[in-house]
Amino acid sequence: MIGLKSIAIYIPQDFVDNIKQGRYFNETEEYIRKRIGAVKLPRKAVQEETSDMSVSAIRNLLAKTHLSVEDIDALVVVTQNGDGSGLPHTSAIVQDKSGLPRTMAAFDISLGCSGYVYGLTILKGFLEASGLKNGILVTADPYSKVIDSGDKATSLLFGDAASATWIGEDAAWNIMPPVYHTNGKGAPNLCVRDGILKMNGRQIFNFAVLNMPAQIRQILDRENMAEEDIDAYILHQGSAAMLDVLSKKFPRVCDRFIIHMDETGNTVCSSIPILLERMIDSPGARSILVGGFGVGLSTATTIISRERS
Amino acid sequence: MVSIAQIREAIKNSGAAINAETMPIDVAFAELGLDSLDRFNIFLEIEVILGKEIPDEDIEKIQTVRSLVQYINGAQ
Repeated sequence: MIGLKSIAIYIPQDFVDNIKQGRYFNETEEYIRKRIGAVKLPRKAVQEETSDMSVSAIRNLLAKTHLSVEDIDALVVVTQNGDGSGLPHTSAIVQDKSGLPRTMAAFDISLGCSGYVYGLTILKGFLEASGLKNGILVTADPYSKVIDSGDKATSLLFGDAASATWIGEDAAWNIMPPVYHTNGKGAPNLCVRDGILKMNGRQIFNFAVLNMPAQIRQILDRENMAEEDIDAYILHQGSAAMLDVLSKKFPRVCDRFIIHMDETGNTVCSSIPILLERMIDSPGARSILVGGFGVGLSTATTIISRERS
Repeated sequence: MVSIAQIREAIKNSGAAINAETMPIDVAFAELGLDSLDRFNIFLEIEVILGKEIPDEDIEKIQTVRSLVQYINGAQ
């Protein structure tokens, strides 16, 4: 079975002190800690490219697993802020910088916060359809490239990070078919205009709160699972306040919703794998629901479950 | 028409950290400790009840429970 085998992350060492930044925007420490949920926002170095972040995440993955470079058949990079102007695709640059085989397939996926869930399924299906064995799914979308430091709505929220997920044969974790939702009418609510990120926080909040609970219930119903059958709910870490509202829609299991973004902020498509890494490496959990929402506007939710040994 | 009681119910359902039943109706949300995210959530609850959207451009006009009731009833 092709499924999820391992995850590694890369978080840049430099960071913005968000408490200090909050003061600049006349926000209290309590607001930053409890509502935004992040006291630190990692920032890539100025000269560090999206491909460099991807290479670092892949290096960390190779260091923690027995995966050999020559055995990697496919590379997918989820990003909307790739190297340069986005042409060529960042995955090709990462292939070269990482010394990955030239016989491999490499392509980018242009998605935001729902991109990790899409990426899991796309890469799994791609490997199966191509008769390949091992692929790496990278997420690297450094919003610091497009943030206006004077814009409170985005400056207090986003951090830079990357992840690398090994998808391959004989995996410990099965990836179930996801459910999706797209509403392009909302696209202007989270987009880049003239090189600057623009976000209508209220509309993104509304989109998430109206759609994510329904999507979670949809996939649980499809799989004949109760809310209690899920050990952990890992939703995209949009903001602590938003996650708090979403978790309260499921009062019986609200304590299973993971809210942990204090030292990363909203890292776009990397927020789910950052939390998932810890979860799949620990022995406890058997079924984990992962759901992303944001740019598009778009949502995608799936469940990953540990294979019984 | 929407009543103050319905608004209090919506505020309660939003989970905002305030006693919806006793909160004063003429004091600004911000002065009551409700931040912009609380207000997003309250307005969303109201929108779901009414089946109608409160446009972004009108949000700043609505700073109290009373002004929220007046806005909705005036808009209908």
